[in-house]
Amino acid sequence: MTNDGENKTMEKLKTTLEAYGKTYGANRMLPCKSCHFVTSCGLRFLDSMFSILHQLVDSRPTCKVPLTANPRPLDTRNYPFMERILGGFLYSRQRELENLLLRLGLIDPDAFTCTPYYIGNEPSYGDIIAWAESSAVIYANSVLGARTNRNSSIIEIFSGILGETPEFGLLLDENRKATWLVEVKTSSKPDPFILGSLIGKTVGEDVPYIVGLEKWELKEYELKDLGSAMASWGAVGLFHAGELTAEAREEGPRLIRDDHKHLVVDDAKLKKMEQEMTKGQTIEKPDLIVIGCPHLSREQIHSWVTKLEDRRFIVRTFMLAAPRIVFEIKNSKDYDRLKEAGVRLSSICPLMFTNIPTSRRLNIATTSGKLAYYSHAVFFREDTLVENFTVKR
Amino acid sequence: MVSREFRGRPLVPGYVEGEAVLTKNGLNWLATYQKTVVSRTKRAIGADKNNPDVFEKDLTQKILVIPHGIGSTTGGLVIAEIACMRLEPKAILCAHTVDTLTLSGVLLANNWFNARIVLVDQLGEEVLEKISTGEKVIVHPDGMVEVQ
Repeated sequence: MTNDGENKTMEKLKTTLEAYGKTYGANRMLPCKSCHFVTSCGLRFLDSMFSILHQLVDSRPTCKVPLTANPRPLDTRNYPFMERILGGFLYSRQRELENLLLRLGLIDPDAFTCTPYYIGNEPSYGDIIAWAESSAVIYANSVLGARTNRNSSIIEIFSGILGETPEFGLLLDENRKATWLVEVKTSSKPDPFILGSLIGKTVGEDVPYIVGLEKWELKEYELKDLGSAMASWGAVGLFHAGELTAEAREEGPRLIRDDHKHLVVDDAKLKKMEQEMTKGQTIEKPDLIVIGCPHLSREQIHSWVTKLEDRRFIVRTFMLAAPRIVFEIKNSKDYDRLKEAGVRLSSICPLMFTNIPTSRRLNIATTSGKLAYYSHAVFFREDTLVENFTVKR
Repeated sequence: MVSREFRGRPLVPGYVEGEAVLTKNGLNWLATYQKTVVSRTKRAIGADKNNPDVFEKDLTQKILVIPHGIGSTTGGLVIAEIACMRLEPKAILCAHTVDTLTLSGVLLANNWFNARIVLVDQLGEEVLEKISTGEKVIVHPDGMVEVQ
């Protein structure tokens, strides 16, 4: 590309980012410390993304901050034959995409996961970052206390290349206050995906402050799953949960605005939400079980190992985690126990798998409310999944 | 019928006339258009099974009336891709302040792919009550939306 072309691309990039910020009243750009890119599939038809990424690479910039990307779409070792063939066709530009991302500064050739915070791209409390991937955005804002807007694909990498992002929205204190108080009054610990779906559906793009979860000592990975559901059924980019999330631990109920709305969650509302999530569908015997959308943490995989102690899945079962986490698990005692339970580890994005048209012939059961939202996979609570689809070893 | 008018903020101003498709639920761009993008269909048919307002409706060159966009952050790129396929909506009318995904998608489509999607936001809740799918809508450059 000529100097003119390079300048033109950078000019377009800046114009787009400025218009993006200006709409929300941004007066300045702030330095950002990290970037996470959402569209990690080399879908052969995705002309828009390739066109922009090639223009960026040709104008020779790289990200000024650590860059990670969402999971890969393919796993040729573990996919059923049909999906291996058709997936290879559908995502035939995967290598091209990975080369482009490496040239733009990807931190590692294997940095493909929707949980970048588990592989070293982990911002600190208060850090300004430019992330996309709805589940990662809500995790970074809520669990880590970093600050990012729900950036769309491409906008995040524009910010990463400039090393700056417009100051608006969730980057500002006043927009991080809760506009909803959500009181959880259920008789037992709620499934994070069901609760998150109900909250997301109710509050839309607002910020909820949740009370009533403290007594169940939710794990960090349960907050991850809770947030991912809010970001699928709604557009929630930040939630607070009393004593559990970063800013709620610091500031407590002071984060709730005086004019907040109110949602009470009880057993009946959760049951109704679960029915809406499954749409009354059930599966006698699935062809495939998928666990890990968003990707599982090390601790979460270990909790499954404990849960499956003397049991074995009756069908092919994928547990999904970042490549680095999979590598670590494969070098631990947990791996043998997972194999005994009939589990295969992979690092794919299951949404990319279910995008392969032939996958529709497969009955897929999942514990992920996010995967169920975006695909034909049917949602099951973890305990129901184990009860229905495992046998005693 | 007496025409109805609404005034919003013209973020990408323009004059367009077209048929409205209204959703009272937030529009999930990925879920709505993923089948169109992946299967390279000739028309953009809504595929979000969780949103009956758009499910199986032809959205090609329509005027989308939505509260705001929701869901996956690939949403913006999905709008850009729909524009690359020349199946983009003529206009997007948001009742609330436009969300970052919808805005990004329109900016990418217009700045990088020579589309011309008109974008008006802050039209108010009323717009979701008083426009119906199938009605003829005229969008004026000053953000005035007229229903005939």
